[in-house]
Amino acid sequence: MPLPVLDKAYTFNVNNVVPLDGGFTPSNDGEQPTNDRKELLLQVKDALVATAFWSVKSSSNGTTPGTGSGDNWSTIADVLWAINTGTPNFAWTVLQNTTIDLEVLIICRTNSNDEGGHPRVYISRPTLSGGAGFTGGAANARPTAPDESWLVENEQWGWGTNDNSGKAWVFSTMVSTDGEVTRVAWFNANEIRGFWMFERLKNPVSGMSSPEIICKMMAVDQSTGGAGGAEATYAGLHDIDTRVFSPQYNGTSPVQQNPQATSKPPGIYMTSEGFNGQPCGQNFVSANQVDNDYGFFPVGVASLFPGFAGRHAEFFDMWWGIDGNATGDTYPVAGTNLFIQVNDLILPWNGTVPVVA
Amino acid sequence: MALPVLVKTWQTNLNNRVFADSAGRTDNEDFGNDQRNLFYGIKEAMKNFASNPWTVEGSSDFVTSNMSGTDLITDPITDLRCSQIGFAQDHSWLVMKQANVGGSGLSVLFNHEGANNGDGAVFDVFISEVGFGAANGGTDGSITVPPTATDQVQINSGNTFGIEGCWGGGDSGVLARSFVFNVWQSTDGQCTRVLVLYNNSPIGFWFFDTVQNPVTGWGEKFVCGVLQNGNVNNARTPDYDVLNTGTARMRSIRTGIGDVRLFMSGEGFGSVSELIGQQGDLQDGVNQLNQEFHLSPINVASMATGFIGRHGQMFDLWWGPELRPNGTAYPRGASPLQFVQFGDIVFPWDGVTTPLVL
Repeated sequence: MPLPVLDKAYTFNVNNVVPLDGGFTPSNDGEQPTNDRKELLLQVKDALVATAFWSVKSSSNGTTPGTGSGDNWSTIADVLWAINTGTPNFAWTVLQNTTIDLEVLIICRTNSNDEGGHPRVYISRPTLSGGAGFTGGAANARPTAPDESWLVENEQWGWGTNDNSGKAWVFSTMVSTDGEVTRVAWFNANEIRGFWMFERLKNPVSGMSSPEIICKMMAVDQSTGGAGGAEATYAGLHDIDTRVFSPQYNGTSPVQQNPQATSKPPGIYMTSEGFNGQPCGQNFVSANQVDNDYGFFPVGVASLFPGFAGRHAEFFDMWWGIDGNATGDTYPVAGTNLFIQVNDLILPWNGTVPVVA
Repeated sequence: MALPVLVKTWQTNLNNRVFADSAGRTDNEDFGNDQRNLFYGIKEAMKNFASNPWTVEGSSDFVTSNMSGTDLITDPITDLRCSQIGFAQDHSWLVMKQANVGGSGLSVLFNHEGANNGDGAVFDVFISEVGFGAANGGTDGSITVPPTATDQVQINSGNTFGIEGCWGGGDSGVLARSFVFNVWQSTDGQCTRVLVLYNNSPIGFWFFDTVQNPVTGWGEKFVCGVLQNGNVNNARTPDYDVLNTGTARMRSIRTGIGDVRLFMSGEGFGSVSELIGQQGDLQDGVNQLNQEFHLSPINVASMATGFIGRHGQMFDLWWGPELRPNGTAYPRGASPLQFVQFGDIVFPWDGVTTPLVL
């Protein structure tokens, strides 16, 4: 099949290496991730705010609550984790992208003794909801937003749930030049370990509000020690309705907002062309035997959530691939590096040799 | 979704009725008159479209035969006879050609030989790209033996009953049946579809289609099927379960391989990747955001060895909501009848005719 033509142009920041550092700052108290995991989060934040579309609205390093004063995360010492009970001091940050009317609150609080594996993430869409987004917050309290909804909470997510061993990481980010699409992926040992996406949807059906966005933040439970988990896979995004997509999805109508009012956003599936009970990319284990090309199968958006049931839109510049192909494979042929396989998804790439180990 | 925009212009021959008439059987393998009238009516419709119609390459009326282009089947009652396969009995057959299907045209042989005690329920269908008859390297046949082609592929299961075998609602029993049939052909001749209804259910679905946007290297670029089902199962032939899952029933010819089977793929999700029209409220309901039924494009894909891959898209054909009744017209509201659903598939329609689904 012809190579896809990109809908958007992108600013890439790829192959960023975070060296292994199995130490703990301030100490191994059961809640702190290893230093390399803190460095990874810090650098991902820095990579996003280096673009024209992301900024830190407010943050706290556990000592200085930076409400209204921007970014207080400079070093890993500022990324202070704490247990998710009581009122200890902890770090948090609010990342905002006004182009897609999105605020993302990352809270460094975790379950007891799980080595920093359970951060909380909430999202707000202030313009859509008519609110102010995340406000307030203190050294021992997170900000809140009137329309906030959880994106990640108490899930097997993070930099290594129940794993306190140091790891070397590589992460890459891509942000469309119009700010509407942001993706982050990080890797370890040739496997994807984390995948974020915050993006506006393509070709939404009439009846959706605007701007329509999808968000997803997921990372593997590193304690398995094996292959990557459900990030960016058919199993994680096509097969199940994970209910961790964006709040405020299509949220202007009071009727349509009702599902979010429960703080349970509508479940979304990422669709794929398929037959015989499987997506095409799972039926095929090799290149097309007629044209010798690997398939790029567009990713759609559908829901069965009451009031939202239907096929709603597509993703910009994202495709399902052959799930037998490896993370880091590039297309149209090896060495061209125009597209990269990230687990079961294919994303645009900038032509450099991808590093995933 | 927005209403589909047709890629092709269509000639239609719609709402043709065939009345029940079980008379005329000379033995257990022969047609009843209703089955004769059904086959004849479809053949005539295919021959008589104004633009790029099918042509007859040869025929047998079980008295004489030819492969010189004469249609000997001029009377449905007296010129059609189905006999038992394997006994070289006198029987009718018909070779039709559509020069505009695929890369080099398609010939179809309807050979009226079928199962013992079939009561006209089964007959063989073969396809060829190079063509049937001695002029194309095959044989011309006779009133007892059908013509052959060097590349011929049998596209139904022949001497068995089932989704690819039964004809006209027969199922090894002498029954009188009334039918409705519809025939579509694109004005360029690239696509032909036949839909047969019995007892409010589509029991026959034929298609001989050029594929849209074929992958590079697929010079044949056609798919076809002669899917028919008897009353025993009463299954719908244009159906998710028939064409998207299970046994691949769509056929083509691939150079160097011969017979290849294909699926009609579509957009889906969930643990067993059911298509959108099979999911929850969407089986019989509208998209709850835009209040429209979802019509999903149909693509073609194969798992045949040497031919594995997703290869193209059907022209002007869509998966619809699984539980919508036969004859459902789209769009809702003003100007309906632009599209009509039979089984699980939505076809172009003429915009004015109310579909008959007796």
